[in-house]
Amino acid sequence: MFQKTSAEGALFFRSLFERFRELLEYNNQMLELVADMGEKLSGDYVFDTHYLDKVITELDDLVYRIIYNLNTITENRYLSLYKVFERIRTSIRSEFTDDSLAAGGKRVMPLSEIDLDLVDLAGGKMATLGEIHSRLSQRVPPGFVITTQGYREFVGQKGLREAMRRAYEALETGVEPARVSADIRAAIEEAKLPEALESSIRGAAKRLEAQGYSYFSVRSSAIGEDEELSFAGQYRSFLQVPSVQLTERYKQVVASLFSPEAIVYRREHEIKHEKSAMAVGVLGMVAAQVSGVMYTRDPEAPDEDVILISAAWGLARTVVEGSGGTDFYRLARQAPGYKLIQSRIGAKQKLVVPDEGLGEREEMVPLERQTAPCLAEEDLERLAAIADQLEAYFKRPQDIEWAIAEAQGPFIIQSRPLRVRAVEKIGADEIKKATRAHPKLMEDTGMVACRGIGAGRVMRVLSDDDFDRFRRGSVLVARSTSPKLSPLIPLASAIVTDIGTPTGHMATVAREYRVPTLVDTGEATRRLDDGMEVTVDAQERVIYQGIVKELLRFQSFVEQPFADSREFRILRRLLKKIAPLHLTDPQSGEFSPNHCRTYHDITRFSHEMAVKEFINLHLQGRRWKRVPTHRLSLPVPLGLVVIDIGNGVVPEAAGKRLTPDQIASRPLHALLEGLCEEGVWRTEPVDLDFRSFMTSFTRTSQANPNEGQNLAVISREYMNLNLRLGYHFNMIDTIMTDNRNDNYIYFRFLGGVTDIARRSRRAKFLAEVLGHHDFLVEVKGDLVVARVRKINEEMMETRLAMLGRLIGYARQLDVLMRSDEAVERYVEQFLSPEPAGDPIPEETGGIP
Amino acid sequence: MSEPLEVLVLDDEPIVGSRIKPSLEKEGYNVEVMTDSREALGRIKRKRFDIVVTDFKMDGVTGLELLRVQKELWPESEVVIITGYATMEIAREAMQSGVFDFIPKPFRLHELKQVIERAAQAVRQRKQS
Repeated sequence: MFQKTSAEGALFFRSLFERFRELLEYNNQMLELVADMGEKLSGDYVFDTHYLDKVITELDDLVYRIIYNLNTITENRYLSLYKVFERIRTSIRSEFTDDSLAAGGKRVMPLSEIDLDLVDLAGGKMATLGEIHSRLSQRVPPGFVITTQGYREFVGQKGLREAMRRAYEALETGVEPARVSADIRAAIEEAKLPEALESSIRGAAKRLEAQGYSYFSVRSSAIGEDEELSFAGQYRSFLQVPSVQLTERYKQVVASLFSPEAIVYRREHEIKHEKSAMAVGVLGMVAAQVSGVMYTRDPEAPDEDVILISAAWGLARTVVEGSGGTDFYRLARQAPGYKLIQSRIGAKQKLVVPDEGLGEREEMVPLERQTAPCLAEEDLERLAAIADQLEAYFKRPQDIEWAIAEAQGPFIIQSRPLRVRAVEKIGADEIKKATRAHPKLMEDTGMVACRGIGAGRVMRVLSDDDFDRFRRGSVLVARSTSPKLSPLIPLASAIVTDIGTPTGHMATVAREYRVPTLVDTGEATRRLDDGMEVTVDAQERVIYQGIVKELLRFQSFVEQPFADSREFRILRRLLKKIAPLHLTDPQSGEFSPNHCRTYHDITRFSHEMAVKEFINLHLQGRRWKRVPTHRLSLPVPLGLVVIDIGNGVVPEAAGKRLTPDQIASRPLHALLEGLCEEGVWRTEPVDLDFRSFMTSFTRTSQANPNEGQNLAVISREYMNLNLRLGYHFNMIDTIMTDNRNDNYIYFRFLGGVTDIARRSRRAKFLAEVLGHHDFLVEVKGDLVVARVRKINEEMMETRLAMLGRLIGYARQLDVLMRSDEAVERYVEQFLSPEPAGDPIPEETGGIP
Repeated sequence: MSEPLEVLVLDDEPIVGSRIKPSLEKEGYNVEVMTDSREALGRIKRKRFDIVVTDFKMDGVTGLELLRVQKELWPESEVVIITGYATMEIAREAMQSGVFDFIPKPFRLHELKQVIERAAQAVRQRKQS
């Protein structure tokens, strides 16, 4: 055996280092791809499942390569990542088929875990109710859903499956649909539930009983129920069901999926009966004092700006079934608030109340209450506000069932699209005429972050004081897409900003709440005044003066809300398995392959481990023996491991310890000039205020990050610098030669210890500083990527020195970024001819 | 106002047509959406469309075949191809066959609309002369 020569060692190292650089590059491509996918949710793009398939294939490939490269670098020490990858990949792939989603789903799920993305599992009615609770924060009765997976387990039992097959064969041979329907329904009602399903239902019901609910409503929630199927109303629902009757009622609801009308409809539309499925919701019965129904428009006159509410004492049956006297209210929308324009108080002689034995019974209404209104003005206002919230969110007039229990606000029991009188289809001519009649305040402006049309009064939010003044339904106008505006987003009818990107955090939130949003319009805060009525067309990128009703009508009655389409649902579900980052703290015991739940977790973990491998090269035994590794002693508290791959240190430097003057690498030398400049480096930890302190607790285990874990791989003309300072990553890759055509600097910055608002502000700070120095900058959330190429030596030198100063300056700057104004101040401070050493904290903290 | 132009949108994924249709209708076009390329081939033989927006790669008839038939039957019409497989080769072939424009998927709705507007101008000019 012969020993590797130093030259061979260096060669070997170089090939591994190449893998490392690839890994960093894949990592970056992955993050950018994910940001692009997020942007597709804006609705501004037309994409199809082919796109989803393509982008997922690309992602699979990138993540696989990252794992492969990590294992090449580390002599296969992370082979278990392949298994994790395969698990996540399979789960992601399953999102493409609705059936396997149901198959992968649970048979019984609490309503609180359900939203519209799970419509294939929970059915339309329950998924909507879950969404109203989770996204719109409205109160809904507690409950659970027996999913389409539960349904498939039930009807998939051999006996039942056979019976259904026979019945459908009979249909083919000409047997009457009514007869076929009766046979199937009988088979369903006679069949036993599978044991696992039965016990899941029992367990879930017990939990509801423990919360004080002894009766339930059992409601159909079929796939596509509230859409075009005209017989949907015939699916059954039951009120006041005691737990002993649950399974029986469940089967009856399921059986109603096979009414003669439904069977005929499916035959005519060539829908296989195996394709239809019924989820069933089981909700605790609210002990309602008053209940009723609300339409967000008048179905007979959908153009009028009114809300209709009907109400009766007791449980909802009276109103829903139209039996007995009810109150009727008609409210007009006005800015601000609502005006009661008509009320007809019915003679309410009877009411339905819960009954311990029978479930419910009718009672006489006491005489003095028979002709008293059930709803006070504040109840009406509250209900009307909910009506507007739901209509704005679902982009459709809604038919809402509600109940008010003593001392509690309204519960929403159900919301579905309102069937309105067929409005004359609004034509292009009418829209053109209307849009011509309204002056265009801004035209061809900005980028669409969430597609749609919204109208209301302008409310500019320029300082923290404006937050409290913001009214629901206003058009939010702000300087930038700051995450701090997030709490106002659900209240806004539309959003317009001067600057910002459709990939940032705020854009994501706007899409979650489906608020039409235009970003980067340049001058909205100057062109739009408070109180002005405007219509924001975040489709054509126009802002009109006044309310263009025709555009709103087109949106409500002609366009299908894009966010409800299958492709958007799949994309949202895919992103949930790709984008969230759970592994944030490398010091934590959970920072391991087994805790990776998303692709982002895998890539984050791989990145960290790859860097660590190089930093600890000298500890890795024989195979690294010949690679010249040094520790650089600096006058600032930054531990740096230096690996020289070719004339990066002076020949005299034989020892492990290096001093800055022994660095021969031109780029690192230039960077150190700035980094070690007097006063640049803040040694004291900045004053974490309580809030960031708490955030740092959740994001990290210790508030004192190790600053020794940094790496520079250098040669005479090359430097690859990896810094993990605090909890953010900073990577600089650069070549600096006499030939300007070879020169480049690539800068990448990600993460931090504080909340997303502050991290985004720091990203903005970096972008402005780098932009000022001629870098081409891209910001996606808190990821900053900047490049500059083909500049001469002298310019390289000043920029690298600037980056050195910037590293020190920006190190914990996110903590100080308490307001958006802070960004500009720090930019100014940093760029001033004599930069102050430390960023100076603001005197008072604004809203973080 | 001049007569509304007739537009056919063909893509085997329903989402594409259902998103494009209202967006073009709002501009005053009469829009028909189809997802089956064979049926579409039959349809263009019976009805004169001024503008055809078609996917490139479909089961049955390809966008290129459809383009050829359309241009042969209705030379004054325009065809716009949208595709998720945007290769140089496809673009070259489509251009040679007289495609008006070629848009890679995914695209922004207003990008498509601008192309359609230009195509509409070309068709209208031809109609007048």
